[in-house]
Amino acid sequence: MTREKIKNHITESLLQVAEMHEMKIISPLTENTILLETGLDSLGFATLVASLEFSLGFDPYVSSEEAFYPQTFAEFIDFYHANQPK
Amino acid sequence: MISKFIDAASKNQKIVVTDKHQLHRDVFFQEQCQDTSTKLNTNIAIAFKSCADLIQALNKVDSNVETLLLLSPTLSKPVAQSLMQQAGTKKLYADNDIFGAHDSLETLLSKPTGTMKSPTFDTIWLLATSGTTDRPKLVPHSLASLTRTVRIAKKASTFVWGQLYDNYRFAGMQVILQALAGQSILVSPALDLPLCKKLELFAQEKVNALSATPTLWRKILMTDGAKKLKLLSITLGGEIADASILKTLKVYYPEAKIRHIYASTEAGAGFSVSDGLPGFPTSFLDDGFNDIKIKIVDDILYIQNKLVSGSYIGDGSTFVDEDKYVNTGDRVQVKQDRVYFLGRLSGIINVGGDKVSPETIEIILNGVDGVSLSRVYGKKSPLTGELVVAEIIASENQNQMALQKELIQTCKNKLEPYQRPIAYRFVDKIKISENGKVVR
Repeated sequence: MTREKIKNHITESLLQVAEMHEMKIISPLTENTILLETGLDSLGFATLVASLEFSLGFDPYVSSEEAFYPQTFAEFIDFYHANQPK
Repeated sequence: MISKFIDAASKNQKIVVTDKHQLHRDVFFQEQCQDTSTKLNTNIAIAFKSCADLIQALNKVDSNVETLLLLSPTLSKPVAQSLMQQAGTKKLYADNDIFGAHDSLETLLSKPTGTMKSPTFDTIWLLATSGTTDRPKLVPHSLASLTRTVRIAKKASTFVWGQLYDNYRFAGMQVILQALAGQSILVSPALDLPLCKKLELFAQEKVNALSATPTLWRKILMTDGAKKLKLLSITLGGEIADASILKTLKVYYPEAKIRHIYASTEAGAGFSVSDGLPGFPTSFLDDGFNDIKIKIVDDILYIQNKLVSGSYIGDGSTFVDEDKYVNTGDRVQVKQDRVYFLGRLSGIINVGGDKVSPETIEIILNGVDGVSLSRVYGKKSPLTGELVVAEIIASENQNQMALQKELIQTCKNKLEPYQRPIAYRFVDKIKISENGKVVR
């Protein structure tokens, strides 16, 4: 998947999770936004990672060789892009 | 008694608690003005928001009352009142009337120390469990059981402790007592301050020792503040510490000594592991850990801590076996020379430190029209340890999409966010045991 496709997919999932948990997402959401300031709390993030695992079929936190905790939205997208199953 | 315990240190050293106001070490040696007209009750509860107030109160009452109930100001009024009833406590000292009639810290400090005050008299400290499906329970402790693993410093340590736990919980009390015994500075921000603000404060106050759950550590690493901390001591507890978080913390804080501890309100401080690996060595099963004995029966971890009593206050129910081992309810697996944690026996799901009983959620799901049966279980999460997931058998001719919407809405109305299933899987079968229970 291209980075753009992954970004769109993540953004869509993020909005769904926010709706599910009744959280308000910061506007505008840019790639420089700090993850913990997007409006999702840690439970929201855990839910996002789990729902991405269901929809994308992989979890980079598990498949990645090194443990990494992205801080910005851009780093989060890159993390998924770089750790796609080959 | 607590002031003796602190007295191991030089009197010139100051303990500073940074919150609403600062508390200097001198407070432990001040002659307190005494109102000799009324004596201190033998059985009291305290609930002060400020850590400095709490420490002053502890210093006053330890060895001076029979039982001391620690009531977190975060509890709801009905829960707090029920705990007071279980403890048989009528006298409350608190900041305000959130839990009903109370007296102030000033009144408490002015009370005469009474006849009981003796360095050898052990006050019973009552700590509340975090509670899962039912009300929290009260576990009796002594200063000895609370300070079993606390290291008393001969001189002021270089550690500056940050408090991330609730001061009134077992884990939070461990941090306070360790800071006091180490003559360290303790930075205790308001519990409801956002994490990023707490970390900013910690960086500013040069905090270098922190204790938190693995979930909270993962959250810390996702903040900008993580890089500003220069940590020398890292403690993980309350949840399973996996290889990934242990490894990552080492990368972020190469100078820190990292240990994960096994402790619970019931078992007290059990053991700690500092070799950077998850689980614990099987040698603990043979040799114990200091004066703690450890065994595995039917894949469940049992701990014997001679300093804990083994029964709850209130209903008096016991939580130890005939050999005084506490059944921890934690499932473990031995692989070569290591014991690994698998999760809770009861199926209790630990979502970032919040415990979820699957049965409670199933009752709600089963109550939704169109659901024949449900099974709720924990799914591993790299961020919160676990998350709640539900399997649903839908009634015949039921539209699954519509049912899922209904389930989501019902859970939104009836459950806390951490209790809500994050995914629904529609299945044809759910395994039921011979006694009619959902197999976990």
